[in-house]
Amino acid sequence: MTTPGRFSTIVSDQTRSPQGVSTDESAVLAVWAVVQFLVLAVLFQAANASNWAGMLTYLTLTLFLLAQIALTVHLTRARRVHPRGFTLRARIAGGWAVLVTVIAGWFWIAQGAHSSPVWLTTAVAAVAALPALVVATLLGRASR
Amino acid sequence: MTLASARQALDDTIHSPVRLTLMSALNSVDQADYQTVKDALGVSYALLSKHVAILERAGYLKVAKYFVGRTAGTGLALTRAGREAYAAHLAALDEIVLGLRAPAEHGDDGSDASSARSPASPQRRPKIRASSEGPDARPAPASR
Repeated sequence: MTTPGRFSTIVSDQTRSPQGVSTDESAVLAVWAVVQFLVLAVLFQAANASNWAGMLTYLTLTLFLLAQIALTVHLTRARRVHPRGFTLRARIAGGWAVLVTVIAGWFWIAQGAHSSPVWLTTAVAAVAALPALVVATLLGRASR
Repeated sequence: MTLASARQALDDTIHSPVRLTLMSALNSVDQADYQTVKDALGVSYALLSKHVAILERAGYLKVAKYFVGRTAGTGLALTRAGREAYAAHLAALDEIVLGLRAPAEHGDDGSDASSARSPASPQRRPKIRASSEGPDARPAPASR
């Protein structure tokens, strides 16, 4: 069989969004990405907060875990149809955030106080969370 | 692929109307929740569960259960084997819908396969009664 026939061609057409994609799920994912950004932005500068570094890290991580529980519950409730490629994109976005956190965290969390400016650490936090926001936006677009 | 081999390539597990529709629905997405699939297919819970179980036993489909409080959710997704089987099934259907044109396009004369599939080439349609073939030249009845 050298040329795809009508059925095979229609199946490979990914231009139309599937029905049943949840707007709520994309909203929760977007909130998740924003929370991820805020937590990383604070943690990357927490070591510079002299006497409050430990307390700031402690409070940020506590709030992050609480937010994660709440968002996971909402995400599970809102979960409906995932378009083709969503799972792969979500995994890449998650993997990317972990990679950036591991590398940046080694210099800005594990090593204690540092001299990197706020704009730089905030920008790196944004870079870490941006793919997750893109995934959320694509899901939201597919839901319309 | 001849008509006979295309017929043999059809997958009995997929070919039931409900299962074919279910496979088509799930092949167009990464995953879908049970309720959305049920509504889209217009079948009862019992019937959908029966066909989901058959596809799951065949290794074509995976079922994910999740709970949020008292609410139970079910996610359905095709496995890699399921997607491959579905693609092979559609390829066989593609050959079958070509009818008696199917063997001709892969003939020994090296003719262009793609032109034979185009509706704009009616001259390639076979004559019902070829001059050298009588009614006995019809293919044997299908055993499926």
